[in-house]
Amino acid sequence: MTDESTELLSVFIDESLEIIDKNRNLLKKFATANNKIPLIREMNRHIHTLKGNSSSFGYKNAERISHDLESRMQGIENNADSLDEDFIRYIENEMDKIENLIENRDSIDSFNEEVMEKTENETIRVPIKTINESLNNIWEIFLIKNQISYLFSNVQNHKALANIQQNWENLNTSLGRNISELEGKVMRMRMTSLNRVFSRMEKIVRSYTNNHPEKAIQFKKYGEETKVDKKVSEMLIEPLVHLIRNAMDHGLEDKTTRQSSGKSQAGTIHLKAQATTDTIEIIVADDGHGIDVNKLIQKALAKGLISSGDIPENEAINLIFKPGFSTAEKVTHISGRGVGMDSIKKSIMEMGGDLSLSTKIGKGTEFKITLPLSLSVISALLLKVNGQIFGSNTHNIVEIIKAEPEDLKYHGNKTYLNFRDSFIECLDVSRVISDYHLEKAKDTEETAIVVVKSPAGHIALKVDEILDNNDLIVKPTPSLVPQINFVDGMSILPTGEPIFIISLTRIIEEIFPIKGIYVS
Amino acid sequence: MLVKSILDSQNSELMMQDKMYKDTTGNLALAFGISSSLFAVKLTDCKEVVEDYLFTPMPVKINLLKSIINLRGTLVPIINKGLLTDIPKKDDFYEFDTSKKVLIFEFKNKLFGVEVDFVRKEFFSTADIQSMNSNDIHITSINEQPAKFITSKWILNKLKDNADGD
Repeated sequence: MTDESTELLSVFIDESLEIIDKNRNLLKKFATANNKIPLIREMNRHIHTLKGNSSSFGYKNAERISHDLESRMQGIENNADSLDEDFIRYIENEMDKIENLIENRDSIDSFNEEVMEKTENETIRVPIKTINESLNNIWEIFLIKNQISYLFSNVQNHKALANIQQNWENLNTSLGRNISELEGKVMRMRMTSLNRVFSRMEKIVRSYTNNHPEKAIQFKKYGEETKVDKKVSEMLIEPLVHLIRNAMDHGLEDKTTRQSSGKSQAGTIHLKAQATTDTIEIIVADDGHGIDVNKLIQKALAKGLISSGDIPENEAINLIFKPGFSTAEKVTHISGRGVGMDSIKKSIMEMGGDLSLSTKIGKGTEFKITLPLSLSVISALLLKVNGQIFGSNTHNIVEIIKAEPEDLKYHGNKTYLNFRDSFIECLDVSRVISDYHLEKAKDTEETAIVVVKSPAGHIALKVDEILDNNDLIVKPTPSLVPQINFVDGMSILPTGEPIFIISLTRIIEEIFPIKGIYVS
Repeated sequence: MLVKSILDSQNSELMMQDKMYKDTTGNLALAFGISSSLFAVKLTDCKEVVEDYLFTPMPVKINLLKSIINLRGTLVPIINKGLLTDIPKKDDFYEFDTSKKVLIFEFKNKLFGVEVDFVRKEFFSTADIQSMNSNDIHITSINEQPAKFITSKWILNKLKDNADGD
């Protein structure tokens, strides 16, 4: 498939999903609209477009469903009263089916893997105004480049040397401003609303209630217009699906139980997004029975995850995130994916975010995801291991320490760091980084240590040297490079030197235990 | 790793002129040597020759991939030269000699480099090609020395085959 047709396909998928969202919004208006005819006609137009586009791109199943739906819709165009709740549910289900087919690339010419991997061909819609503004920046940068050349020739010819420094400073300031503006504009081009992610969650709730008549669930969403980096919105889907399924399966009671405890028959799941200056908060809350913290403690004791049940309630609630807390059997039942709460927390932490929860018996449970608005530029710590420089996201870094020899204790083959009046395990990052004998670590009595917050608690990581903090642009690793578990991407330092960006939490996983990714 | 950061721009310009020349003659190749083996590649398969580059080694030893270099803001993987000589030496992982030239190849928008001991431009005649099959092409000689005539596609396929066998 050519780049052009891949791009067209991407546009088709985007437009189709948009049409499906529009139809869902129209369905919501049916309940209150006095005159339903214009709404039915508008929906018919959308379905017709969907049918035609599906046909053009070989999505035969989506075309067939759209065709049947269109035929039935035409039947009610002049008899709007027949558009009852059952019919609305039928349309919703058909929209869900079409959406699934399109999202899963269910076309007859089954696109090959290479095309699927071509994420660089994904399209985004950008306002012309933004493009024009970006062009202005580029033109200005071009002029600055010319001025720099002129200035340089003046230096070579020993002309106007007195003003060189001032001119250079002016140009440098101007260049910095333009690059910063341009970066902001291009970053905004990558921003997308959470509309589609939230609609997907709504669909999951609808599908669940269709299959679980013993439960009634209201789904309320807020802030779906909040914009986040496209990559963030994609990475949010899996943890959200898991949290929503958890709320439906375990958070909310069935109708009878709710009624007997004086609650409304229908439980409610709230999905809320709100942006702060540089983060986004996503809340998944239910008004179910809440989590019994005492039961959590008992379970953790039984599993040997804690040695004493004497822990404060606010700490005990976090036991749910301990690796090994959820039994595989139960987790599969909850999510169908075999993923525990520790994995969800870990995946969010790897995005540079965090997951917390609060609960009240009889009232419900609230999970809060906090994420950076963008993953393309990260605040990174530069560190050196085996003579090689690496960058690491600072989000999970709790503290940077230059440990004196007396701060470290050795027991068997393990090392412990005295950290905030308790001992935490200290791991040597050089165990997972290949040693090319590039440059010997400086001989010093102090040990450079980064303390990292991981799902297993605080862990100290020993490195050769801690260099600096830097904002880094994250670039994907070249496609020929196989995936390395603890590598998040690459970047280029101001010196021009390429570096790998590593995830310290996954480095910890590599050491516990070391996996066989080495050349023998 | 901090090394000299100047790309040999004169070399690049020369290459561009050569490419234009190649379009009219069709008989220009780059000959390059790795250890005692001699190779030739069509000029059109090779994007440029880089000297004095900035690189970072792979964080874990990966068969046949040695490092990543910064080619004017683009990250380009460098293939272990053992892939071409069929002698993947373990020691290659530890040799980071930045005085060596790197040939940058392009195939289907993928850039990759191969570190070579020397490189020079050579004319050849298609009549000199002795055998030709899907795996490799041989030409009789370059300066009376047998050389293996290869393509960027051949290198990538070989990389893929070796990666599958890891």
